[in-house]
Amino acid sequence: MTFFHVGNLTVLSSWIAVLVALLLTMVFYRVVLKKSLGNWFSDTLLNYILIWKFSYAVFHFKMFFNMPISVLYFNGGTAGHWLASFIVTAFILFKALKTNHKILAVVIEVFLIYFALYKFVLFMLEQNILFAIVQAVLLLGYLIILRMQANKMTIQLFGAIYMVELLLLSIEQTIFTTEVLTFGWFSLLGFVMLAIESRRK
Amino acid sequence: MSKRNLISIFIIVVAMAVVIINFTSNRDKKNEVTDNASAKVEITQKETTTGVASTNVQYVAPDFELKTLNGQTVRLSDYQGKKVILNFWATWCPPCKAEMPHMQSFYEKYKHQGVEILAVNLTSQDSGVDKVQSFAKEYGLTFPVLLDEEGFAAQKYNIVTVPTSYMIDTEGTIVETVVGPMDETMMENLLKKADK
Repeated sequence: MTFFHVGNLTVLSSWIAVLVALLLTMVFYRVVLKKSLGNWFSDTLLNYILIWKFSYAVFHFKMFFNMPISVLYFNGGTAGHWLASFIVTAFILFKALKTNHKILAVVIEVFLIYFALYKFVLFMLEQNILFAIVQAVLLLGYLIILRMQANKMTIQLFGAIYMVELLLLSIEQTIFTTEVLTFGWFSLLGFVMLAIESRRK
Repeated sequence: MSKRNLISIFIIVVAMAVVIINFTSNRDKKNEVTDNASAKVEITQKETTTGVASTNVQYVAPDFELKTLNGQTVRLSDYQGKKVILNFWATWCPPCKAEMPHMQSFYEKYKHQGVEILAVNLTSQDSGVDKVQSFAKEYGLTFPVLLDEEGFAAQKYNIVTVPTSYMIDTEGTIVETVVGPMDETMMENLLKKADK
């Protein structure tokens, strides 16, 4: 975890990585996979950020109650991240099941690209150049596979990709961290979505 | 062998590798060892063109002598051997007020683990010691509150905005700077930076 000074504030490297990765995900998705991201992506993003940020009021209720403006300075932390992740997952599943939206297979692609980008940026920010290069190579591999598979991503293939990324993460850190668990959670969502998709066909 | 089976085998092999790597001994925090291995007083400041500075500068924390709210006189060097979070604040600053409960909570957890918080009030720019006193009482602060009555400490530490906090390790080196309010998570991250 590295601290960066941007103007008058100190931010954590992971925040910068998240932001940059999100922007690049949109670019890569459009340019490499030649598809445009639906509204679901920006909705998901907005919901996640709002819940994560304002869950501070929930998890530090007493402090919030004594000084409501403090919610502007802080966020819900890890607990807020999980709360936001679960709620956002529910929204995505709900949307996929109810509206018969074609976001099913897409979610997994987008999340994969986003996560690989996030790790790449984070490695660069933390000056972990070796891992950054490896992640970049893997990302390239993922993009090639996704491009080749077009809309025919299978659970198996994604399982293989998931394992490779997990391997990289295992070497860098232990797998019992929030980051890896989050990766696992959203990959699980992706698996579920793929399974639903293949049953619908 | 079909493509499906190939992929399945691949998954199993990689899964085994993941299990082996994660469940065998010597799971050290490799990133921290590689980055901080170099000498602590290495002055290599890296600044990108966008003005975002990565704090790789490691200065020795300037010493100072100030009075506490309790009337005692303390020096920063008195705390050598402890990990110190040196915080600069003022009663008229909302984010300073917002972070105080977090600092108190953090302090209660870590004070018996060789961690100290020194909250230096910019008394020369504040509204009187009485206000600082009532502030400390209202927030139930148990960590030392120091009074920078002449503004010398603020000057030594180049304080421009408040709150500003410095993480000082056991040998008196500033390992990290935080501008803006800190919550417990941020303080715990700071502590990790002070680990050798």
